[in-house]
Amino acid sequence: MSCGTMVTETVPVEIPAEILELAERSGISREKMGALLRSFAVLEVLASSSKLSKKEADKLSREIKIAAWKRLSPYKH
Amino acid sequence: MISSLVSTEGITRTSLAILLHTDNCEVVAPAELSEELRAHSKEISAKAGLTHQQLEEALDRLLENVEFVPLSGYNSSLKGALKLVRDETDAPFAALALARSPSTIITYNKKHFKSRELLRLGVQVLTPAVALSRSRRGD
Repeated sequence: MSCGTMVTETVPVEIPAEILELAERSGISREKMGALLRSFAVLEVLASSSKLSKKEADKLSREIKIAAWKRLSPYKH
Repeated sequence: MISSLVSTEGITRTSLAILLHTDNCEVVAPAELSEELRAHSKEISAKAGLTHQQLEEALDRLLENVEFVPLSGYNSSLKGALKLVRDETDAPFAALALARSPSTIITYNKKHFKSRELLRLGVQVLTPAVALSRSRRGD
């Protein structure tokens, strides 16, 4: 569907059984379940377009941890 | 968080979504890490082939359920935490977990932490998959 310059796309997201089981077991509220599903859907949609490999993700995570540690290490004593 | 952008890491996304919304679970992280995550967001989005806006919106949504703790909240545990990790860059996570004990560190790098010593101090170290299975059992 195209609305002027904005293009929207519908992406099907499969909800894992773990999420539904958890909701059933813990009696999670409708509001919280909605938020949980939105968070999961955001991650799924993003990951479906992502080209990031596990190796690249590990490298980026390491860079971020090192950068944070450089700021914190002066306080370690 | 970054691993959840790897398309094959479905278990990470499931664990993250559940942990962020479980009533009896508070998700905390060192504030400096969040700041560095934001500082690196252009690099992350470029490598992932996503727009910076897409990534920022996703981070906003996900991180709204995370409490970011400044150094003052775990500084007293930082020196001790250095003895409980094999990679000093993990010390802030161990220090924060000790400051919030009993607590759980969720990581793919379990071997970076001295799990037995941490457990004696009330800190479990679990992978996302194990954390999820325990959450399903109600542990």
